[in-house]
Amino acid sequence: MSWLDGTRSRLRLLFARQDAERRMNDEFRFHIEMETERLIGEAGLEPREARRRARAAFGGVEAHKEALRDGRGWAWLTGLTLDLKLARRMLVKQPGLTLVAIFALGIGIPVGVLPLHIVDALTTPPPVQDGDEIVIVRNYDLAESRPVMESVHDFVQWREELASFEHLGLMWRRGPYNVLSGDGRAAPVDGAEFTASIFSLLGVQPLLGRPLIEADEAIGARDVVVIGYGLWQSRLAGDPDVVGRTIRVGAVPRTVVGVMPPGFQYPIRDQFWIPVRLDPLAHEFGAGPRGWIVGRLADGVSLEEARSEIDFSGQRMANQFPETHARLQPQVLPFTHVLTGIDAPEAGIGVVIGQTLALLLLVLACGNVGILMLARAATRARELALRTALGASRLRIVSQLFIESLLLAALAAGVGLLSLQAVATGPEHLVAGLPFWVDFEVSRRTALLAISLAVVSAVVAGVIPALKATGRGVQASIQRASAGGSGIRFGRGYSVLIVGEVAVALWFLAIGSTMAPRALSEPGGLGVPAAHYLYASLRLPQGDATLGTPSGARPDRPAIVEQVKRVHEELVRRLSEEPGLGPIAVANALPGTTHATRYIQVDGLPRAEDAPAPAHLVQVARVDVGYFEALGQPVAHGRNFNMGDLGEDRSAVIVNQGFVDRVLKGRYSLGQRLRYWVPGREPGPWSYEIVGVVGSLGMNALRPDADQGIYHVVGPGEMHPVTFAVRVGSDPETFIPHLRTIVSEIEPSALIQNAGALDQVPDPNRRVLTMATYLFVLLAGIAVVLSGSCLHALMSFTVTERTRETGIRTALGAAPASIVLLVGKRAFLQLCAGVSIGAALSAMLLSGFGGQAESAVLFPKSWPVTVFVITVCVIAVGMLACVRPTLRAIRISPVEAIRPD
Amino acid sequence: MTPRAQTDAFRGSLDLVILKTLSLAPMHGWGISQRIQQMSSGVLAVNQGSLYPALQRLEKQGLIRSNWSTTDNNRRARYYRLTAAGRRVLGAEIEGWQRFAEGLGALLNST
Repeated sequence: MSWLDGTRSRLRLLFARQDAERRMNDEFRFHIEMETERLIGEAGLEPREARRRARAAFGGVEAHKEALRDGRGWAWLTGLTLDLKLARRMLVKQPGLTLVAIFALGIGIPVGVLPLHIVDALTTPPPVQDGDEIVIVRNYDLAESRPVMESVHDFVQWREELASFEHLGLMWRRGPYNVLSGDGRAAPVDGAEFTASIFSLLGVQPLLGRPLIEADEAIGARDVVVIGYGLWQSRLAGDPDVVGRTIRVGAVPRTVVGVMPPGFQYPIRDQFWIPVRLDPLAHEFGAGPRGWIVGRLADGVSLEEARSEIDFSGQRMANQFPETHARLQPQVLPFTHVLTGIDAPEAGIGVVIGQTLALLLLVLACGNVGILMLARAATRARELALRTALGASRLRIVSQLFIESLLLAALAAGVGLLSLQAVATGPEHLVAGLPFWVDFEVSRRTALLAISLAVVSAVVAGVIPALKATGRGVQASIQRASAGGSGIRFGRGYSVLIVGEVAVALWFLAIGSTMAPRALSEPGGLGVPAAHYLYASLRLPQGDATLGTPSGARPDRPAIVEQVKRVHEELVRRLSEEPGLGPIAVANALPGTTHATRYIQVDGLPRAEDAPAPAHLVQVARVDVGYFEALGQPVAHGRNFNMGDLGEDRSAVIVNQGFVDRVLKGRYSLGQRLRYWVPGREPGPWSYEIVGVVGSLGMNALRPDADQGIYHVVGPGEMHPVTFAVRVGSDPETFIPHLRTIVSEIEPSALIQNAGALDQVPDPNRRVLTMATYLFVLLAGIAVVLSGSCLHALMSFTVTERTRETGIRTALGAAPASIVLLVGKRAFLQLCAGVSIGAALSAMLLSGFGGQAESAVLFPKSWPVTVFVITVCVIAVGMLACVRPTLRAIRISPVEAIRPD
Repeated sequence: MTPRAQTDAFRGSLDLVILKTLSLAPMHGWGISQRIQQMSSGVLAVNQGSLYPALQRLEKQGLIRSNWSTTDNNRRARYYRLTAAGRRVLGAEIEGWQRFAEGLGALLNST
């Protein structure tokens, strides 16, 4: 096996360089000694003479060694080692440049791989044998551009006729169910309804008992449940005799028939599975429960073949039933794609846009590092010229500069991947709602992609500047170097990059800073000691009402209303009996949370001068009769709601003080009439009448200065979910378990969600605003660092290039100011251009939004001041970045600068 | 043939000569150069600057293999031996060389 011998030799030569050197020396010494002995023995020479002649005959030992070293075929490796050493030295010598470059690429590279990384994660097949053969079959409504989820009829038909799939099954999820187990606690648990065939399709055996079987699906069969390992451990204490025990899932007691092994949480993060009970006759076509039809491709059937078969079936159905089926397109899609939503057309567009933007950012980062590398190459012009004069080829020098940028890019890729991994394994909500096997940890593919991007980045950031720096002849380089310059020119492209970065930095900073005060301030003006109030939301899952009946049979609405009313009234009664608790306040939005907004018109009040619409934008809440009393905010003027307001006539409304101050301009009178106004619609009659005024209760926590709202009254059964607050004392969290028990006693299927202290209620609007602010400030910070480093590099480069000229001018008596102007003109012009563009763009955006009432929450009217301050700050930072090189220029000694080398 | 022409022709066939030498017995570098000189009755002298790179080349090609061993006078030396692949290549090269020499001879003897 000659290739094996050859490979072995190569490997030995490669990895045992020192050993090879030693062996080479030994071999040569042996040769000379043998020849010496021969000359002594055969020619009778003196040992000394014999040795001299032997050495002479052998020839130049070092030359032979070099020939052998080259012959190892890995000579470049020696060069590479040297280049790496030099590169490491350069990176350590200039830590500022190194850090900035790693920072730029450390953001650019992971962002560059992010879109594909996410797509990879969201398309991972389920972790069962041949998981990529598990597919979802569905109809797509071409007219409405949406998948048809009401699929009971499709399922029954396809199960009968399609041969391309095995174990075709149906499954759906209806949100969490209240599970009441032996420990007496009720808590929401995620679960799914499966046909038995899905267990066969996944091929995972239960740890205890059995999976669901077809007999469980029969209407009238015993109510059973298969539970997950987590639920078994946490709620049933890992009871080995759990099979046969009864737990209540929603309203239905169910017998546990099996426990699945750890890691089985299909499809999302589910912990129990109950059988689908199918009665297609109960629904019209296109109606019924919303679920997924899941199957496994039959042996030897490809995805394309399966698609052909179902297409044929679809066409036949379209011909038979054109009214319902002509607009339906059957689809076969990988399981994970549908569950994660990556199959949606908008997801595809999003990925393309995301990838384009990410690569654009990477190119920008590369350009940035390129500027730094070029500036540094300029400062090393003399060294490069000398090396060229000593015989180093252009390729050699370019490759050395490439190795430097490669080392930087590799470090950056490492830092980037570590950060990506840290983010991926950090917050749990990243994977919430996704199939349990989907995670965003860095995969081998992502790492390889990052390495590839690092190499490409190194080429862009290292080779292009290196070619620019070495593009002139030896003679010219030496002449230039001895004249004190490099001859390198920063092209227009680099100037555009710097100006663009400054502009972007200012834009991001201006927008972020304008939003920051609102986003980062504590919600104020709630009007209640929110930390002492418990907040919770009570939900009656509609699906629960149907459990135990043929799936999807819609319960009649009055029954649900009656049930909600009963639960609401019972909740109020039970909580009022609890010692130490205040009265309960029920509303669709509580103080400090997001309230709906609507336009309102006031009878007899002229249109507001600055309003874009002939109406006032106000917050609206629906509250129960005891709301204000429970929150300790008595009605200041007029009267409170009473039971009489819950009749047919619902005209009574209470407004808050902000409404009186800002909408009514203080001219308050009881009985004033109001009506809602909807753009484009004819206004209705004056339906509402102000009966009272109440103090502020945090209807607009983001903008207390625009807290102006009206309250309507609602009674039990008129609001679902029932959101409420109750005063419980200093630590509301401790009451939650007891609350759950009370609620499960009132109604086993009722869920308590989002429970917590009222001051901790997550406000989605505020969260989005806070995250957007942080993002803008982060991006601004990145842009500031990058543009500042570029300006610094440009100035350093200019100072180096003009050292001699500066020296001569200083010698001729030039003032420091003229020196500063000489070296700083270009950087200053670029800074000014960037700042002007950034400020103009910010002003355009903010003034554009400023007039709209909705965006006032984001951008206060004081934005011009913010933009001005930020502009000044960016100029200051830019100039600060130029201070060191400028001082260096001023301190250039004429004697040193003019001294010939 | 002038010595210069001889050397040039030899350089082209050095690999073949080394393989042939090693086909007799495993040998160290100095031994190979001595054996070549002896076998060619002193006509062909190997330059050390060519010998060791040639040995390295052949080893890389997997045609010969080396190991360190002790000589008769108890010195450590690097011995080269022919591999199976080297033996095959040698056979083919000798055949090719002979055909070439015959052809060349025929050409030169033609009138």
